[in-house]
Amino acid sequence: MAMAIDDAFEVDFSCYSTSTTTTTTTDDDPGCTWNDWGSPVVDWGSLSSERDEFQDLIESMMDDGMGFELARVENETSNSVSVSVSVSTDTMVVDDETNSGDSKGLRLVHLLMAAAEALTGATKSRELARVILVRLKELVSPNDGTNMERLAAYFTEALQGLLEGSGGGHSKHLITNGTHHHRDKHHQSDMLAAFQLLQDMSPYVKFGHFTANQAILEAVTHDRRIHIVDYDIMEGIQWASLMQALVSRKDGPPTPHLRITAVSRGNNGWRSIGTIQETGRRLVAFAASIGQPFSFHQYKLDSNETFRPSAVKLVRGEALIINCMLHSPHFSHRTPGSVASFLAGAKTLNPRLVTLVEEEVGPIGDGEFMGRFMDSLHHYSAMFDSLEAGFPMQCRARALVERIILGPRIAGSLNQIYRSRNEDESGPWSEHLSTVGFKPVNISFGNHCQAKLLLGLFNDGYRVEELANNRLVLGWNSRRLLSASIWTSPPDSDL
Amino acid sequence: MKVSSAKVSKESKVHGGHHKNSLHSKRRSHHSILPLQPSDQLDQWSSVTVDMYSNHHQPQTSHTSTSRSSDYSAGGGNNGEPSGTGNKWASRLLKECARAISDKDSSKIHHLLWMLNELASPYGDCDQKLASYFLQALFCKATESGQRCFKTLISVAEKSHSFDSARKLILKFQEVSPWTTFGHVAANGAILEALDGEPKLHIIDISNTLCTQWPTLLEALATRNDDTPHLKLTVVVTANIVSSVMKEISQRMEKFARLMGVPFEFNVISGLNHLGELTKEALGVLEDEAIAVNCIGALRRVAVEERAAVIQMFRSLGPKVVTVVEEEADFSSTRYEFVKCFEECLRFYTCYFEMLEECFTATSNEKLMLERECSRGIVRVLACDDDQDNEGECERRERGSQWSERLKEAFSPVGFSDDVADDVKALLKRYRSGWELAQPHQNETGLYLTWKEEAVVWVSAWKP
Repeated sequence: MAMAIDDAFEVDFSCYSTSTTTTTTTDDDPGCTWNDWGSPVVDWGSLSSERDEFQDLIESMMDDGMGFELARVENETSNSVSVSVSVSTDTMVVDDETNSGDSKGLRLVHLLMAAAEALTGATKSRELARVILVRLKELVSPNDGTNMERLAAYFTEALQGLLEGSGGGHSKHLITNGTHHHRDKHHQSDMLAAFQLLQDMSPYVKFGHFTANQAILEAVTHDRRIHIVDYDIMEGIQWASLMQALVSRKDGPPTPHLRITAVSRGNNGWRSIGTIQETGRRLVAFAASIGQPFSFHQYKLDSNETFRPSAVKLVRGEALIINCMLHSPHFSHRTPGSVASFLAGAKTLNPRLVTLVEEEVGPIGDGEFMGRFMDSLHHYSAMFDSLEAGFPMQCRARALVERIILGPRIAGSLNQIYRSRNEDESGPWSEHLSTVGFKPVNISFGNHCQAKLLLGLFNDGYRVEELANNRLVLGWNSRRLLSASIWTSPPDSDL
Repeated sequence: MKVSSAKVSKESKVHGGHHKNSLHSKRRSHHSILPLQPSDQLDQWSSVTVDMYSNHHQPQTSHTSTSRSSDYSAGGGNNGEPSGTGNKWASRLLKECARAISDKDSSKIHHLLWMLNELASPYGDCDQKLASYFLQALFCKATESGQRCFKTLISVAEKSHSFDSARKLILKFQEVSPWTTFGHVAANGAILEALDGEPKLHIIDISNTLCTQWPTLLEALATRNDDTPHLKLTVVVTANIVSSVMKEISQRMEKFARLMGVPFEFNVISGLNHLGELTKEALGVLEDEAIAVNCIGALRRVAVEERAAVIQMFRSLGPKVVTVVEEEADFSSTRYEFVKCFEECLRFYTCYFEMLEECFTATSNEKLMLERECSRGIVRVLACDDDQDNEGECERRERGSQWSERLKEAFSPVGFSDDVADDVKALLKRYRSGWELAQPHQNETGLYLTWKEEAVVWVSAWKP
């Protein structure tokens, strides 16, 4: 078969075995055996724990863990009560090498919190924030050290960006096209490799795609024409697997016609690897190669990214699906306004189904910056940990994913949190969909099982929860990371 | 790892039990992170201080200076405020910590001490240095270990003190800054004028200047038109550090006087517990001598309650002139109000450190040593109780106006002549810009040396 598409798309959807061949050449780590995660060298069971490391770290800050005691001592000479502070680490003479990993991790978290507080707290001081970041940069590097240290390095960079950008104006430049002042422009091959690695090392990408695709398949069993409006198509791999499933479906009309309208930005921010047109060409070629009737359209948003539903070409009789993957590595360049506009516009089209995948946010207290900052720290700590747990030896590979994908995500995430810190708390998009009037669609038993099977291919630490009838959440240990929810238009608005 | 305890003194607020804060509470209890040495292990702390003193050890592996040249405004200020401590991160944190200590806010104290510890360095920029030295004092205050720390700092300084190092230090300082020479020149001028025509001079030098003031005076005496008078110099040393080197100094002074052709006698009095103990007899004051009492930075070392007595003692010596040189800061009237005293202390030393930063080169060893010397004074003023007998190490400075009030009880002020003022101005011209001579206002006495328009040193002359 002449497949113009990368081998990466060789996902056999119905069999759940991702026999992706390694197409990356950048990682020549001898320890990297991508196809071996089915046969673990390490006993995963012993590695995964109920709580993730980060939570432990934070808890020990609050509690009296880590060999630290806070005892009360009655002072006999006076009636005052003095507090005895015992510390078991002598760190006044700070020699970084002598710090145990845990205490260093604590220290880094503490410094990050102090920097974030200095940047946004009640008593703001940019000068203090700057000084703390200088100190942090001395302590960490994105290339070596523990997960916590590398994570701290990326958060330091992100905070640095906030500090510098907060002088005024947009910070979009932070994560676009690798023009981030801390990094050189990422090479295309690096980006390709990193994205491939992320898919191979974790279920983060596939979880969203598979859950959405399964719901779509179930919704269009009797349809001859399917139209998907995709908010952020990226490389289009989600649709490769959907097409394969459509081609091989047993019941219902023979292979339905699939139309995809890809929504794209007019001017280019961080782009996917290649343009939308290239994605379209790839999908067209792939569809042709498997016999899937297919057409591809592009909808270019104007510069302020208002979605005009009237500009979307609709065909009578087609099942309209709205696909909203908000968790893509480079998602962060889409402003909330853009997303809101899209979803509002989508509502007026009365779609059959809306599939939404977004990052799951943890408890964030009063929704102010510090709470969301801590939550973000927790979130990405879990991601770093999950990658390490699955692939402890593949440091370079993980470092690449961290650098190309997670680092920019962190920067974008903090940017987002920072920009919206004085506004009313914006909740998850799933809540927004509910508010706007969409109705939940149950996630089928089969869909849920499929998710579990997917996770089973990776480390034991991953879990999936059904938090609502229409919502599956992927988590690592106790941390929820990704939410996939399914919706439909309210019944009486069918025209 | 030793597990040890330090006492953070507080009356009522105890945070022993409330650690189930949510992950995202605004005020985190940070006491679990405290990476500092507790006071019981002050030996370890003192080994740190010793390490700090040795050039080979740096507490932090590398210390990027946290200031960028554009951020660092020399002298600290806009609006000509030389020691503007308002915007700098170190002064903010330090003051907050002082307030927390005063409020006995345990968790805040811990948090700030921790943060200061992270960011401070005696080898960094001005902010980092101030943070480092004041952190030490705050820590001692919080853990009630000031006295021990002070004693340690003294013993460390004594161990590393030598004639050569001290001399080199003083001379280098005088070369780059008029901080000390200002007082010398003005005092010498006043002394020479007051003792003019006297055949037998007896100067009682109560200072730790290692006699760097006197060569110029000897020279002046030698080159006068009339007969060279006989000069007896009695040096009263109040710092133990200095007494060890006085032998060497006396030899040099005698040699110099011989060279100058000035009949000269040199005596040293040291080991005094209290200045007030001095008597005419002890000092060897003779009836036919014209006495000058010269106090350089000496009065501030007297315990506050004893200052009046000391001044009366001066009076009892029957001097023709008393010259007093002191640094312009008030750690005395605020000594029962920790936060106010702290802020004044910070203001003064910020000015001093910034001056050192500007006058010396970036990598100057002498600058480092001068900074280290400040640590004793800072700890003493902020973390030690006054009633502990510190043997002449009080360090509670007062402003010229305050000293004047005291001195007026026994003396009346003598103005400096135009000649002396001219000499001082000529001296200042030899240094970089920023230094000015300020004449007193109406009710003030003496002369002020100003650095970037802030008064830093005060010199005055008095007669009975």
